[in-house]
Amino acid sequence: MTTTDTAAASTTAPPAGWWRRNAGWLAGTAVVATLALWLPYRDALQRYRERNPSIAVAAARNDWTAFNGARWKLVAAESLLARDPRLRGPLRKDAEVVLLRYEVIPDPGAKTRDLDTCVGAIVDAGGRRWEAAPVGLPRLSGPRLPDRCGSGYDDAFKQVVAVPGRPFAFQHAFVLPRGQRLSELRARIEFRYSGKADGRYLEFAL
Amino acid sequence: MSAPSPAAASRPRLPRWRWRDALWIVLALVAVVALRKGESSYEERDAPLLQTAPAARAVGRNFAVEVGRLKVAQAYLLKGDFSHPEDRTLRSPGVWLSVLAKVEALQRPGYLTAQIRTRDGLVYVASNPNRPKLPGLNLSERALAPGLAESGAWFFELPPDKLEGAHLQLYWGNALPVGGDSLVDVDLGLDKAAARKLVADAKPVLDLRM
Repeated sequence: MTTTDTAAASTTAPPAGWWRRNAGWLAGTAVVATLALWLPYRDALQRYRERNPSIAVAAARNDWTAFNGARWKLVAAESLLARDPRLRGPLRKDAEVVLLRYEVIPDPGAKTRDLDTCVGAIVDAGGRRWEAAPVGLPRLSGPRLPDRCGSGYDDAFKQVVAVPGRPFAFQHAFVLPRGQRLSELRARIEFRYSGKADGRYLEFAL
Repeated sequence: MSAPSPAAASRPRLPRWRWRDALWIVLALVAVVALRKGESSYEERDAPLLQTAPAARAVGRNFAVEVGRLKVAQAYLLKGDFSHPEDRTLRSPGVWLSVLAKVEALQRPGYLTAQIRTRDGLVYVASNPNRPKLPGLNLSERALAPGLAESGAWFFELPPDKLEGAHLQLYWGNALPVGGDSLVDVDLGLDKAAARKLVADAKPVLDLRM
């Protein structure tokens, strides 16, 4: 072989550039790298959204709203000031108790255990948040209602369980600073640990 | 045109050595060393953001604290409880430092933790709610909610010579905050004279029966 032969061969079929020769590998690497970044990000985002639900499902007023394998309704909302006879314990002077009574009808196949993981909260327009059954909540008189969404105990200390197709009443009690207007507050029901709510929470206007 | 020697043609051609390649290698090594030297340590990445704040109103993520008076005592006299009806004296191997404060959550409910950092870097976490057991007063592990300010005191046990230059540090939650969260640092203004005066004024037994 001579140099003239080589030169002639190179003019007839110019050798492809490195980028072109490795185009398949490069494209594959780009795809794999994108997946390697995107998949963990998607999983982490999903876990975060389950723990910090951010998508509101607005509940209809005086009607049932489907959410997380059940239908929900806010039945009553009232606030009790200190010295209210229904409070059977001490309440700090600058606070009031807000009671929210709900009813829930589990769909067929819904599990009580999943419903029991619900978290009740109240938020105001400024984003301040209070959670149900805080430490300073006094004992309440009146008919005893479960404070969980799927099971609890009645007046006779007998266990009551939400049954699919039948309404189940429960109550969330909060301690808020005194002088809140109920119309400016919003109640929430969240499922942070069930893994099914997918970042959504149920929101009621009071 | 003469044919090249057959030996040179049959030998596989090695890439020609160029000084530019050597320069790239040296530059890469320099970059590796410089980046490793400038890398932040695990401690730096995990440490909370230290945020100095005035004692009058120290604000951190989700809380605001107004720090009040300080008091030192050698021991506390406490009322007995159900199992031990007689009064008892709670002693400490060091001294008791109490820090009065008004605490408020700003956005969401939870807990606030306080600790003392001495001038030589030692940390003394506030004593637990059962030591001294003063339900309305001991702020340790008190549940907080927005708009419902709580007042009381944190109690610290520390050696008397560590009072000078001590700072109060506050963080939201029960566990030390991780990187990016705020650790609020309040200078208690304990210079040498103030610390000595606190210890000199310390009662041997402070009556906390209420």
